[in-house]
Amino acid sequence: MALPKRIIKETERLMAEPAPGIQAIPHDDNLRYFDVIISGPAQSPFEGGDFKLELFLPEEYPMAPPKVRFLTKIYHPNIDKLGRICLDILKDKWSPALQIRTVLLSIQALLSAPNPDDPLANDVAQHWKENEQDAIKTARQWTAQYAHA
Amino acid sequence: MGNSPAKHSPEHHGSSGSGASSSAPKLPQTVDLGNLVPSPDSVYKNTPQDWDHDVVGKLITEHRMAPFYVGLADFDENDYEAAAAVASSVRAKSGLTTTDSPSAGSPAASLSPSDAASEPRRIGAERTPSFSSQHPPPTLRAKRSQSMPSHLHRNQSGTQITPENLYRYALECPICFLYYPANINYSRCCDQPICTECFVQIKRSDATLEPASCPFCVETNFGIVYHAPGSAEYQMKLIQAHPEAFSSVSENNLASPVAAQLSASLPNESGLPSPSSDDGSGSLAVPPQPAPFKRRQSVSHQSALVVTSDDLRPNWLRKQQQLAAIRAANQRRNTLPINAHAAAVRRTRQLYLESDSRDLAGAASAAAALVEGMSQSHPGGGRHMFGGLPRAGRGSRAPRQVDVGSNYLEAMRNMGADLEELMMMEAIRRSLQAEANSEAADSAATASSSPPPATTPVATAARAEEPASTVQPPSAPSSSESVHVPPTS
Repeated sequence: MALPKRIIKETERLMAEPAPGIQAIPHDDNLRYFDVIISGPAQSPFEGGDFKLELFLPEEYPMAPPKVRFLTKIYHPNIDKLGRICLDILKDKWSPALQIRTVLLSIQALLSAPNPDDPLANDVAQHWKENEQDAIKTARQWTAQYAHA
Repeated sequence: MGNSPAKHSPEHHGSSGSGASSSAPKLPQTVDLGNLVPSPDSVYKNTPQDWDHDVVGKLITEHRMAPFYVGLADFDENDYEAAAAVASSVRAKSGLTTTDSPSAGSPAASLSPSDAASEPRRIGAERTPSFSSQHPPPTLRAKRSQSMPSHLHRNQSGTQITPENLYRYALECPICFLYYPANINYSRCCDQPICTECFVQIKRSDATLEPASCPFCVETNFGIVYHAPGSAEYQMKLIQAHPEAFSSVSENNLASPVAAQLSASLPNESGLPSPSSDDGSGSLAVPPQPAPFKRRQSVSHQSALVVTSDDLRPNWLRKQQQLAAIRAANQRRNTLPINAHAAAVRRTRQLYLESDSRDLAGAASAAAALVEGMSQSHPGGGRHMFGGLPRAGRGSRAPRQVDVGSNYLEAMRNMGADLEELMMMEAIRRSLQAEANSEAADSAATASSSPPPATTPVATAARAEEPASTVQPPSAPSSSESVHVPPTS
């Protein structure tokens, strides 16, 4: 099936003007499937890490949100062991005016601002709430251990 | 959902739901060189078109929303005639009518006789909140043109559309990224362009049933306003977007109302909607081509000029009830657009065939549809979900001996259900039960509020063919030991 023009144009624009700290490259054999790398934001416990994600545009896109998942292990209260991300715009707050770029920027922002009150990984969230300094330390260790190429 | 915009859905529903309107000969095939239906090649050809085609056709004919045009992937503004040729060939290829009615150039030519006969409205009255007429604003173009400076009207080159210049000032829809003629819809709240194909796709969330929100600024009760070619607003937008092309107009005629408004709005360049984000995580996209001028005031979703997403689906209330029924049985799967219980049953069979029988989710959806069919055809309700299954058209089939002891299966067999169907239903029931069990914890909290089930499934089977006339309240999610139907009133 022909790829919708929107996906083609989004891809072209992503390649032409990549967002800082974000790389998204479609697979040759499936242009709806992207290999993504998000750099950990400065001043976050994820700084210095390169986090791999996969992004898939379902058939209904853009009326349905892209499916995004972390492939690199990450210690974050809104990201679970399987790399699933708790982010409203990936679920009920999705809007067809959002794009791959804005989704990835939002995920990058989530790394800067973990939200332990709306957790996906309960143990991590609890850690974050009970001893934030220690949780951040763990997050740094994980970043060093898993997110360095 | 108490604040349902009851604006004019009853009228639309009445006229579109009946068989009489299917013969509606009054609607032209094209309006302003566009169509009343999407091209078969449209971006959303693989998506369910669950909006009301009659309503949309009528709204387009009345110039309340833009017609369907061919969206162009590429566009060179210096060669808009080539663009028009491409669009025209796409239309021809897909079997859409390509010629407008001969008199389409005159302002009210494409309005239907009944509309033309109704009382003209003044523009000043367009925000009447209590609008309830069966005739949405008729002949707006005609009325507008009366108060329009003559130099802007009709003879103004470039503002009157022809097949050649249709795409002259084409705009890129920020959702599908295709180019459309300048007479595009604009969001009522933040004045962003949206093509008709994208607009009709936007609807209430199946999950929350909240009114659709604007994709650009997330204002609730999404709706659009539309200004047909030839209207003063349309020309204003053109002038604002392409000041260079219309410079003589805006320089020489500052005294005219339109130009005065225009010059007042030009200095402000901030046409962007401010992204409203929840707890910092949901930043919205900035449309790729923001309107380079001050945006107008938001228009109320109750304005007579606004077409909301709900307007395109006059049956959303019924759908809401169906979804409530489906959710009672399956709290997550709920995407079946079903119109009648007969369709539900047919659909269920089809669904079953499509889905692998081991696919619990598919089976659960099918079961949910069955429940839905039941709840419509079976006002008495019943805990045996299949007790009221309509048997239309099957005639009497000799009951077969089936070695299954369940009461409802017995009942089904007595009604003449066949083995294949019984087995299917049993499979559905089991899968549903498995799912229900896993969700038992979730629903335990609300279980106490679920009504006691009625107990006469077989006796009510004869009523299965009755039309569902009662409006059912959405049921509270019930703990599903077996399948529950929603309470009926």
